[in-house]
Amino acid sequence: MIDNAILIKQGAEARIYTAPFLTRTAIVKERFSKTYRHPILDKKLTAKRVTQEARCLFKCRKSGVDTPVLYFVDIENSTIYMEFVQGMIVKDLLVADNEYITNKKKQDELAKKIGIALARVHAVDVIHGDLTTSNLMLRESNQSLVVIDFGLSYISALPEDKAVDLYVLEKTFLSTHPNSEEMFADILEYYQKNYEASQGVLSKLAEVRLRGRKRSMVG
Amino acid sequence: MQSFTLELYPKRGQIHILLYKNVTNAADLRKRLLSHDQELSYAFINAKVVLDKFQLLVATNDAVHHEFHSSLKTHNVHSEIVYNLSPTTNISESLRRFGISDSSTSIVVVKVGGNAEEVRSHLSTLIHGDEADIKEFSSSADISNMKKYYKIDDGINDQKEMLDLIVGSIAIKSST
Repeated sequence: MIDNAILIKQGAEARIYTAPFLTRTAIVKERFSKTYRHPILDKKLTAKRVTQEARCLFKCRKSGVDTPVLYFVDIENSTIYMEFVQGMIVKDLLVADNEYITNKKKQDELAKKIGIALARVHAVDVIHGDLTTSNLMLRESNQSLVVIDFGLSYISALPEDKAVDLYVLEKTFLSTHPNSEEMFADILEYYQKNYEASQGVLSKLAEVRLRGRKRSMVG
Repeated sequence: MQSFTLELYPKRGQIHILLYKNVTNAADLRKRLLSHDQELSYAFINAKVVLDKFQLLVATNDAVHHEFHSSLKTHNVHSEIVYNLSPTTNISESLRRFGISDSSTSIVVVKVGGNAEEVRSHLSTLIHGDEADIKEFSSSADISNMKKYYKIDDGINDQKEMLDLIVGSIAIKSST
């Protein structure tokens, strides 16, 4: 680890640091080993997840979604170095920023940005895997919507997987942001307008809502 | 000239970056590189495909990382820098596009390790040309060729956005 790295967050999968990196400031995401797994299996799985995360992150960036810029992938140490994004987390805006809580126009603007970003992510068959309002940011410099944390991302063209992605976001909206049904409906509207294959996903979403995130394995 | 320290490999020594313009002996330098002349222990880069020092630092950090883990794809850390600048894994194509050609007149040099002043004075005996400020990178960049090499959409014209995508392509390549 870099000498001047500062630990800012510890999750179940990784530790997040900020550190100076090649004249810039980077976010350093280090996945740690799971001691309950066999060491050889753990090494293989961790390496695979690190590459997968970096690939999904960059695939989205290339297709016009604002994501942190990828700086360096250190497979040997299961660490990804990326841009430190200056901005606000969408969850905090919706919970604590009066402008967003009371102003319908502000909410609609944000819903539009989220809907378009999700449309672009899904258009290149990236499933984010952990879409919550904590993993969406607004960039300070230009108020662009930044999608972060691709730690659970994978590639899939299945409408089912995309629908579950949306369902997870809907759940966070309804559970952490009261009276946000309308805003989520707006997000879906912009998603639909900006993604050609959205029809299949949205009809799957209706199915997923009835049964929940996990597929029934009966029969 | 500017010198930098890689945060992850501070013991490897400083990274020196220099830019030369009006170079007249590129053909000679290239010939010596091809014959593995040990005196040319530098990365000689075509300045037309360099937008910013950050692009060079990311490629250099990758090269030093692979040197440390004994996973270099080319002969040495300096040729690896040139190879890493390219988003493709085709070595000869990468060296052709990002290395110098016989007709190059603007050349970027990256040196891993060594004393800054010794590097500069040694290079002044090797390169026939004028040293320029490395802030002048983008003025000599051939944007349309860079877009082609890095597969960047024609509609993207913002240089910062271009640099972000270039850096990402370099980083993603070394992870595969």
